[in-house]
Amino acid sequence: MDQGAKQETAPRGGAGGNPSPRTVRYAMVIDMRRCVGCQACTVACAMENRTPLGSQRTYVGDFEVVHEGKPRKVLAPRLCNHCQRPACVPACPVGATFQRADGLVLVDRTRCIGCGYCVLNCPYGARFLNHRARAADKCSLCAHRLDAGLLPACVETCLGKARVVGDMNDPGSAVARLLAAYPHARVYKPEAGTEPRVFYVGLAETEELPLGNPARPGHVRVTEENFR
Amino acid sequence: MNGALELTAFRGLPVWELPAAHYLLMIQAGAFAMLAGCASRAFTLKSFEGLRLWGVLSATGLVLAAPLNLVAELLSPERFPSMLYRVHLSSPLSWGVWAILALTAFGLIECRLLFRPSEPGGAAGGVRPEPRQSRLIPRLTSLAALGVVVYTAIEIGNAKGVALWAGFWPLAALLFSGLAAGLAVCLGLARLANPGKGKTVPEPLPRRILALACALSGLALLGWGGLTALPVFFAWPGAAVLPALGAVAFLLAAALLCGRPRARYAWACGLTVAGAWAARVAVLSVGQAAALGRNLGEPHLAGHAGLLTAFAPMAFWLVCMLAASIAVGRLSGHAGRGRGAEAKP
Repeated sequence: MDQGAKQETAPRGGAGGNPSPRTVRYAMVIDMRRCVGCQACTVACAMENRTPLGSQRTYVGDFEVVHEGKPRKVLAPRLCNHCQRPACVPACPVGATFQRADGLVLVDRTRCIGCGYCVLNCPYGARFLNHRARAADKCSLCAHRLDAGLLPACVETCLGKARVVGDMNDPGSAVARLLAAYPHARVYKPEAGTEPRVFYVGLAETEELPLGNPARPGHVRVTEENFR
Repeated sequence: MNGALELTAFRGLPVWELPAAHYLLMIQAGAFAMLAGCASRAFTLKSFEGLRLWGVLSATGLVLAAPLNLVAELLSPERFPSMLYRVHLSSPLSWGVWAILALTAFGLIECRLLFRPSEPGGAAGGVRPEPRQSRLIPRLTSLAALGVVVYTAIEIGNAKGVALWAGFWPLAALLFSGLAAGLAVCLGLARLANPGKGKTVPEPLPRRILALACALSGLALLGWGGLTALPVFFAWPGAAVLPALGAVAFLLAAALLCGRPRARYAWACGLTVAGAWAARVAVLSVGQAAALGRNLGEPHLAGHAGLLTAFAPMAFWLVCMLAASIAVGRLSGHAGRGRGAEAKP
């Protein structure tokens, strides 16, 4: 985590300072040129958050695409987008999914009834039902670690430093600087109107962000089931 | 991205499984059956008076049994009561629970009214309503049934994560097939409950509506499969089986109802219910497979609850209908004997 994000976890304001504290808004920027697809983030997240076998809060999508007539591999880390206007929060019938003031979208497991409607309302497929915890599950951006002034597990373990997390409202944070340097940073499914807060940089301007969408013609999703 | 090949896609398990499909079938069929049962009293539609008794009885049984599917589908069923006191109006599930509660309450009141001696189309075979009888209860019951129908439509159509559930075709398939299933249930039970009348054909209007709903359901299912879900079908040919079977069942039922209603009436009702079941399982499983990455694998229909649990609410409904038929038979027997005694000099 950049220094700015660490500072945001502590209360702001003071006797001689600005009486109106600036709003913290956590975000992640992923530099796709730095990702090597090692899935270390996937493993680190699973170990940190003890997700059940076969369910991941984050993973790296491995795409083979044809760009300007040439085959190319694109590695796209995926996780909860912690949207500014999340679709999952209003869909929850008991208020177990909520958004913190710092923008993190979290699940209260003690309230969740496990109906799965939030999973079906996430346009990014970032949620799943955790049958062991008997509740919906998703990336929390390691809120417990952020609150303790630590980096999320995936960010800390990333070999190529492709993932950067911090306060996008702090102009001095690495996230804000990256967003300023790449004004055309991409987000997944902007047409969904959810205003995602996970940004992708490093793609050519003519290149689309690859998206696993088997409902689209020509898009093939390959899993281990093909090889059974 | 068009033409992309995703090599290491992590898959998600389906969220709504077979109990959810059964829940949708039972709650939508129950709501439409209740509308058919209340139509004669609420809107003075005489053609539906023959459906009054078994429309209300079957619908009440369905709305009582359907939430058992919902409870079986939850990962934490012990927290189900929290849906009653933690109301979030932004979620269709939240106010849908209250619509179902209202429909259950009004359905039970309607059942009580059915056993009054003077109730037209009721268990005792009354012909003239009491002067003070109000249309308020049937109208409120119809309103609650409409609320349940609207809630299920919004619940499915508003799921932003499942692209194949959005748009006209899946909603048309679910709503028309729900109407067809509701009518088929109450028409079929009314036929079964009157074996002495042999090949009695019900009023033409409900039968025509059922035939039309079957035809529209079949066409909507074909439209959904052909226009919306076709790319998925190419990736997973097994997904095409259920929508195709459902559409064939609906179109066959419509043909039977239009062609030879006297001879194949029970078959048409059975085919309609089977088609509605196939439509829901198809829409839920194929839609989720496309959204969550199960398009190349097995659909995991039984789910975490198991097959027995998935079919238990339907068995419970059948037991309820058996008890209702016994109660109706006894009451009509008493009424018949009473009328017979009065007729003697």
